[in-house]
Amino acid sequence: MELTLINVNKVFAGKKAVNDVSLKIGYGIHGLLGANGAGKTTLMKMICGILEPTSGEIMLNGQNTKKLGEEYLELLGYLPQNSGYYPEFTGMEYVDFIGTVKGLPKGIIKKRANELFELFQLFDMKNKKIKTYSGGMKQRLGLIQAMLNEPRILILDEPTAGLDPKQRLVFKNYLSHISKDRIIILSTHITSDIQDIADDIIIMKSGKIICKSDEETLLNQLIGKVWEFPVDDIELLANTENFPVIRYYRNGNKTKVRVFSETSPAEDAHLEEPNLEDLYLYYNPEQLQG
Amino acid sequence: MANMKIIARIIKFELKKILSSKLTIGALIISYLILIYSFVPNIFKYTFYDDDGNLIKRKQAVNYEKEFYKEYLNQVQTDERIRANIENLKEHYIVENNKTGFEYDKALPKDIYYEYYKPRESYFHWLAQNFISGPYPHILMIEFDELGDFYVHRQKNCETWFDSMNLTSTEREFWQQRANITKGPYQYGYYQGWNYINDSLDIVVFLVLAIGIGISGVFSEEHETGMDAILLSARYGRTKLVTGKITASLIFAIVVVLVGLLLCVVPILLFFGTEGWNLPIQVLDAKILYNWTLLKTIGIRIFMSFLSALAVATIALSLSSKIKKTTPVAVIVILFYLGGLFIPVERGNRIFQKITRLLPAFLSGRQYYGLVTYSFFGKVLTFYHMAIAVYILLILILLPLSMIFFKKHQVE
Repeated sequence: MELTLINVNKVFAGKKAVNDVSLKIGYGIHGLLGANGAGKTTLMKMICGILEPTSGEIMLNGQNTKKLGEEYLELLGYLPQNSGYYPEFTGMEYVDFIGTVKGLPKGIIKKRANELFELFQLFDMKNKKIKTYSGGMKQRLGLIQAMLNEPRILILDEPTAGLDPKQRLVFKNYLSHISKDRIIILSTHITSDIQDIADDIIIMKSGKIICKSDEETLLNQLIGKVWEFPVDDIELLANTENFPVIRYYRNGNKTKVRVFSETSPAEDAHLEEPNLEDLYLYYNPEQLQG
Repeated sequence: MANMKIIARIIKFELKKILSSKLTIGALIISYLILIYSFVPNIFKYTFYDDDGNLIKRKQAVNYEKEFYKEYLNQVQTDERIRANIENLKEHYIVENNKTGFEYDKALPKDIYYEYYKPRESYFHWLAQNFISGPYPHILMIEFDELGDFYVHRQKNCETWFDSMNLTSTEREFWQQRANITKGPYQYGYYQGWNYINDSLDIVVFLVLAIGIGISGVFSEEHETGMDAILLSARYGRTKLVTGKITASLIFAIVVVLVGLLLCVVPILLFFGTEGWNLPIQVLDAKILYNWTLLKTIGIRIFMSFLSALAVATIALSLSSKIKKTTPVAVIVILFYLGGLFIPVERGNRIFQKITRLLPAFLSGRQYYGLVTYSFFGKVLTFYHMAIAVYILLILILLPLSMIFFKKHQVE
């Protein structure tokens, strides 16, 4: 199974939200990284068929997804960035309704729903009204509905927002487990969500695809460029002017700073292994501190 | 079969969504309470006087009144009978004692008042209406030598009415034919049950308003809550879901009116009985020019109530599918529906009257009192024919449009 985007554009009021995107996406987890307004959500909406591209084509196995219609949508599971709910429905009723609209038989919905409620630790809440759910519970409910029909193409827009670390780990492990014969596209600001599980990373900026490759290849670009060294607070101010600061953190009595630099930025600086957060900030320098 | 099951399940959920709105429930409760209040106090307060002037209450009063009507008034009201009844009353009436015009109990001997006048009070009012215009026609003002007999005067009234209405020659001919068909003499009798149902049907206006409010969010709430992104990316989001939503909305509209009708029709008929179902509509007012029985009248008003509900539901659905916010949809529906009731229809010219009469607020009303007709290529349609045609066409156009608007919706 392969999803192909060919010269996809989306223009809103004269501004290109998605700019000439061409991609081939196969089985596996594809992490979509980009700052707010990069075009990730717009791109995902077009893949899901809820937003029409201004131009270009989206194809599944060589066939236009719009022409495939229900045949394509049957394969899809989508968690939008700000997922909606019906406050007066119970969790189970909500999932039952979405499952019905997805065309699932009643028995299958019940079975799958119970499995997923159990997996995402919402089993005790399934018969309670959604208006009593916390933000994290609602997010997990959103994940349940997205995965209910065992979709072959799973599109998740900021799926871990509101989840605690344990829940994020459960989610990450589950994704990893199901990704072998599925196309999973996941956009996130939390790079650790896709670290070590993404088969490739797609970086978007200003509507364009900046790069697309596996994590190792992308991180190799940053080898020799990520440094850490200790500073006292006065030096910190100076360093933020001289070098792009990725982040700083307390280490005992000292503050440590992590920066990008082609050469060693300080006497006691040492090279660090780059990670996805570094990669994200490398391509979005306007988000660096200082 | 599987498709029908899916749509049936969607309908169930859509109905739950509609009924989970506190505003909708509130509007329904208030409407039903107004409906019940329109007749229940009257039932509890229902009274009749026996021959000795003793007040009888409730069911006993109804039974006594029915017996009275059976003996004295369940008859064809010929000119001779009408004249005799009025002359009989005049014989005992002392004009000087009725200073305000309403003090019949002072102007008549006690036995005549309770035995003769009081049980026939509605009947005399009906007779007087034919002769004298205004809200309180005085039966004793009728001078047959001046005004002519009942049915002659009725026909004269019709001609005067036609003269005042600026009818085209085709329309005038149409109504003259109807005046001749309904010229009488009329069978009179006991019809209290149908009278009360007729009054209660005026309250349907509130039910239809509640329907408009309830349906205003069917599509727009999906946009507002962000559910549209999930639903439209689902397999049946642009097909069976839309069918389910529209079907659920129409079912809601029909059930709301049906429940309202059952709440009023059943208790009223249980209390007053079904007598009078086959009396001519002219027992309500002799000037009505429709050749209907009371049962047919109520049947037509019930049909028009359903039509009004479906029309408002359709309008709300089409607005909801286009406008992405529920509150403006509800406001537009309320203003459009209620606004019609405040339009001074009678002040406008004929075209203005004909157009405004077709507004949804008037559909379930007592349009049989009017002379509204619509002429097309020499053919004359009554208000009812025209309204049914217009609203069926409106529903057939707007419902598919609602589907198209939602199906083509882009989640931006």
